[in-house]
Formats: sequence, C-alpha cells, structure tokens
Amino acid sequence: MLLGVFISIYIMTLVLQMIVPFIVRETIVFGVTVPDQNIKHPVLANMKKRYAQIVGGTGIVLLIVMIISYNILTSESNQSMVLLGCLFSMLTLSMVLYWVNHQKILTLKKQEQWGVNIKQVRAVDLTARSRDEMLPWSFFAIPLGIAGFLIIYSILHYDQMPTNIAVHWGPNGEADAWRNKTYLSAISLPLSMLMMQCMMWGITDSIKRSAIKIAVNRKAESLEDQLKTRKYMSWQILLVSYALTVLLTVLQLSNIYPAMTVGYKLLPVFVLFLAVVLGSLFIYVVKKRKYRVRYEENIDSQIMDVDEDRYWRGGLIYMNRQDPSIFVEKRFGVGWTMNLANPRGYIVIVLPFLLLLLISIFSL
Amino acid sequence: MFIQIEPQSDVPIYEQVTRQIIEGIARGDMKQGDTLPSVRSLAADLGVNMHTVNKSYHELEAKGIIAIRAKSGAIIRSTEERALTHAQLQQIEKNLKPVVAEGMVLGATVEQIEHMMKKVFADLQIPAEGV
Repeated sequence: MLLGVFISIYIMTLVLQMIVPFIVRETIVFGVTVPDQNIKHPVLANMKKRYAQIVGGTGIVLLIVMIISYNILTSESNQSMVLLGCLFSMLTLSMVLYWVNHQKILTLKKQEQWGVNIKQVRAVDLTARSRDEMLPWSFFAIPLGIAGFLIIYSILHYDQMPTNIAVHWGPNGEADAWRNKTYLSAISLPLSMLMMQCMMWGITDSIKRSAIKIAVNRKAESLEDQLKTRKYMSWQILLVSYALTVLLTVLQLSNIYPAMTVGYKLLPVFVLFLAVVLGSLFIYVVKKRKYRVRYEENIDSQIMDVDEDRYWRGGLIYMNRQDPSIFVEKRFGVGWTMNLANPRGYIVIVLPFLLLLLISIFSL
Repeated sequence: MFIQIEPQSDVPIYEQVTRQIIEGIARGDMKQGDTLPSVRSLAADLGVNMHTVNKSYHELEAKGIIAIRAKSGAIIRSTEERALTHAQLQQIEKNLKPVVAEGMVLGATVEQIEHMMKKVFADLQIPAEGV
C-alpha cells in the first residue's frame, strides 16, 4: 500500500519535473527571459531536451532502486528512508540541472547581447478584466461554512467523543496517533481545515487581483492563455478545497462516531482525496499546455516584453517592490509564486499558515 | 483594446496611459459609456503603483473625457457630455504651441504642418471607419 501510494506520487513528480521546461512560457527558458527575436536559438531546444533526458533517465533508475530496496529491506523505517531519499535525490538533480542551465543561458544572453537594442514594452488589454472567468468568492465560502458548522457540532457533541482523539492517520486510512481529549484537541481538525480553506481562498483572491500579463508580440493568444490559466487555476484550487473539506469532515465525524472507522471504511476517502488532488493537477497541466503560446520561429519585431530578470533571484524567487501583484506565474514550475516584496502576501498566506502551525504544535 | 507602455521611456508612465486611452477613444476602440478597468486592476496589469493609474484617471477626468463614479468606476463620457468648451480649446492650442514652434525653428512651412495635422487626424479615423 505504502509503496503504491508513494510510487504514484513519485512518478507524478518525475513527469512534472521532466516536462516543466515545455509547459512554461517559451520566452522564459530555465528562468531567463529570452527575447522573442532569439526564441528559436538552437542551443535552447537542445538544452531542454537534454534536461528532460537526464532527469527522466535518472528518475527511472531511482524508481527501480526504490522497488528493489523496498522488497529487500524489512524494517519499515529503512524502507521509508530509501523512498524519501530517492524522491529527494530526483528533485535535487533536477534543481542542480536547472541551475547549471540557468547560468549557461545567462552567459549566452550576455555574450550575444540578446535584446540589447530592442524596446521593452508592457501591454495591457483594457477589456481583459471583464472577460476574466475566475470563480467568485462565494464558491470558497461554502467550505468555510462547513468548517464553522463542524466546530460547533463537535463542541455540542463533546461528551460523546472518546477520551483519546485521533489526530493523525496513516496512508491506509487507519489512525496512528492520538491525543487526550480537551476542547482544543476536539476541534483541532476542523480548525486546521478552516485555516487551510482560508489560505486557498486567499490564494485565489490574490491571483484574481494579480496581473493579467500579455506578450506584446502575441497579444490575442497570450491573453487567451492567461484567461484560461486563471480560470482553471481557480477551479483546481476549489476542487482541492472541496476534497480537503470532505476528507477532514469524514475524519472529524469518525472521531465523534467511532463506529465509522471499523475495518477499512475510511480507505476509499483517502484514495479519493489523493485522486482528486493529483488528477486536478494533471488536468491543469494538460490545459495549460494546450493554451500555451507557440512560436514557430523567431519573431521579427522592434519590441519585446519587459525583461524582469533582475527581480527574479536565481530565476526562482520573485521580489519586486514596484509590482502590486501578490502572485505571479512561476518561471520554472507549475502554478504561481508569491511576490516576496509585497507585504499583502504575508497577511493573506503566511498568517493563516502560522496559525495552522500553532494549532498543530499545540494540539497535534 | 490594448494599450502599451514603455517603462524605460522619458515620458512618465501616467502620461503614457493618459495618451493611449485618449488615442483609443479617438480611434473609436473605446466608445462612450464604456468602463475603464478599476485603478487596482489596471495597476496590477501594468505592474505599476496604484497612484500612477489614479493620477492618469484624474487627469482624464479633469480633461472632461471620463467621469469617475463611486460605484461603477471610470466611464467614458458621451460626446454631448464632453462638448468642447472655449477653455479646452485654449488648452489644446497651448499644448500645440511648442510642437509647432519646434517645427518652425527647424524650417517647416505652414503647409507642411497643416498636412501633418490632417494626416494625424486621418490616421486616427481610419480604424474607426473600418469597424
């Protein structure tokens, strides 16, 4: 069971790592802005291909190592150590390769003076906002209501709960850690659920307020890509939020009604949760790739998008004081990343996260 | 309707935004009654401070081109609402003066400058007629 769950997560991560260079904007290669005029430089395509080959090849070797050592090793702690070790080796390798390629492209860009004499322009569609299809906040308020209801319900049924409250569950759906019953530990689960839902709501709301970025030389297509990305992102977050709500609600109810946990009754809920989370991510990536702006050849134009490389530390961490956006699309990876120079982001994301951490420390 | 700004240009960004919106209206890309995006979203999309966009919107309001309403946002005023006043004409003349003067100093004739004016007028009208 553990191997099955872990391997599916591992394969998912491996595939994502391999295809990242092919799903992000073509004008950003390994975290470096490439002007539209140089986009078909032969080095770039080669570099992406090599990266995918090395990560993929090593990933498969590690996968075989995982399966063999899992069957040889007998102690559970050794098994999980090997599994985690392999996952992190794969991630480290892809990060190192990313870094090497990032530096190589930076040097090449400097040497060949890409974009030196090209005017940098930022384009905005004034009607884009009216076409934005992100889900309204009310969709995210429903799970919040459920969490609130569950907290009240748990307090009302406090006497009915067992003296030891399950706070942690293994991958097979069986509780494996308990705490003494107090009012805090009785509601810690729905309380953490509330915080996670707040975070997801905050993320969606912040993405909504963040920039719709248009490529100046491919305006119509890139706008379409942006609108679709935003729409599917909000759907994905909503789906994860609902899945989480269902999972944690069932777990909390099983604390109030212990009969629910008899046998492997909770297992399907765990499997379903994992399937929804991984599945929605997969669909998001597929959709993202579908609407991605494609370049057949170098673009012959006098203008290019604003080169924001100097705001990206190592091409991964975004810090731009001037930019009011809280979230920007990742330059290497799937999804969005925070503008660390914008204090609003800390309130929306870090505050609920800290509260979540506090709840776990004190009650779990 | 697309607008484009150059962050590295000598022209301040709020000025670029104002000009582009005015040109968009002149061209007919935006019509009376159309709403401009909220200050917050336009600032986010442009990647600039909210004050920059705010300044531009207030300038457009002062010129009588848009009306800023508390609930519905910035709306482009109708041609009747923005009927040309004497003061506005004077302002336009004042703005034209340095440009024409520059032309004179460099040796442009009245005919050449007149021709330029007509050309700019025609350029802005062409897409509108196409629609």
